[in-house]
Amino acid sequence: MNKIIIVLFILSTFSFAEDGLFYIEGTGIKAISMSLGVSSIDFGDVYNDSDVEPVLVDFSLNAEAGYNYQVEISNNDNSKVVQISRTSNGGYTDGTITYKAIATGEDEPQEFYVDLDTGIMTGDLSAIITVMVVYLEII
Amino acid sequence: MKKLLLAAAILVLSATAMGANTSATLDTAVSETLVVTAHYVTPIAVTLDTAVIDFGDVYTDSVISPESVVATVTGEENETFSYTVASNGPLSLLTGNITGVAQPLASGTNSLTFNVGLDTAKVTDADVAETVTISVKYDAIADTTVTATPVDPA
Repeated sequence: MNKIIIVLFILSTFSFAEDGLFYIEGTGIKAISMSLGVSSIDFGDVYNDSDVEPVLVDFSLNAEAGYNYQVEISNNDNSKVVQISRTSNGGYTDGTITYKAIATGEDEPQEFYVDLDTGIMTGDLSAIITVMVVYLEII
Repeated sequence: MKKLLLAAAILVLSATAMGANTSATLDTAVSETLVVTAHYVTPIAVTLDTAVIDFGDVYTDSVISPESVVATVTGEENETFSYTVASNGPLSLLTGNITGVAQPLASGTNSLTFNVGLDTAKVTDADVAETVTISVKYDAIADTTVTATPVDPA
C-alpha cells in the first residue's frame, strides 16, 4: 500500500503536465488609525509643594475587528516628574504603560491621565509623551 | 528511499503553500505625541536689614527720627509681586514703600525702603513693643492649560 501511494504522488507531481487548481486567499486589513485629543499640557508655574490636578488625555483608535493590538504609552522624562495612569485616582507610574485589546472595527475611545510628581522637581519641565499602537499579529 | 521521496514531495507542496507577508503599513506602529511642560518657580523670599529698632527713652513730647529699613525681595526672575508693611500696634509710624503691587523682579531681586517712626503722642506710661511685618506675594502663578489637538478639516 505504501508503494502505491508513493508512486501516485510522485507521478502527479512531476510526471504529468496537467491543469492545476489552487486558491489564493487574503484578508483585507485596515491600517490602524489613531487621533490624540490633546497636543500639549502646560502645568504652569509649579514648585515642590504644588498640587496639580491630573489632566485627562483622550484618544481614539480604529483597527480591524477581531484583531489584537497593543497600546504603549511612554515618555522621555528622565527626571521621573511626569506620571501617567489609566485612571485618575491612582496607579500612576513614571514608566511605560502597556496594554492589549481586541479591536472592534469601530472608533474606540480611550484615555489616560497625566500628573506631576512636583516634590522631586528641581527645574523646568519639558517632556514628550508618546502613544503607540501596533497590531500584535499580522498573518 | 521511499520515505525520503515522500518527505521531499511533502516539503515541496508545503513550501508552495506558505508565504511571509510584510506590510510597512500593517507591521509598523502608529504613534502620536503630546508635549508636557511646567515652569519651576523659585519661591519668593524677603529679608530685612534691621532686626530691632529701639527708640530709647521717650515721652509724649519726644521728637524722634524715623529709622530707615531696607527689605530685599528675591524670587523668580521676571515675575511680579505685591507687598504690604504693617504694624501690630498703633504707635509705629510707617512711611515710604509700605504697599505696592506689580513690583518687578527683573533680575530676581528688588529692594524696598520704608521708614519706621514712633507716634510719641500716643505713648503712655507703659513701654512700647510692636512688631512690624512685611508680606510679599507673587501677583500671579499660572495654572494648568491644556491645548486640544487641532481638528483636521476633512
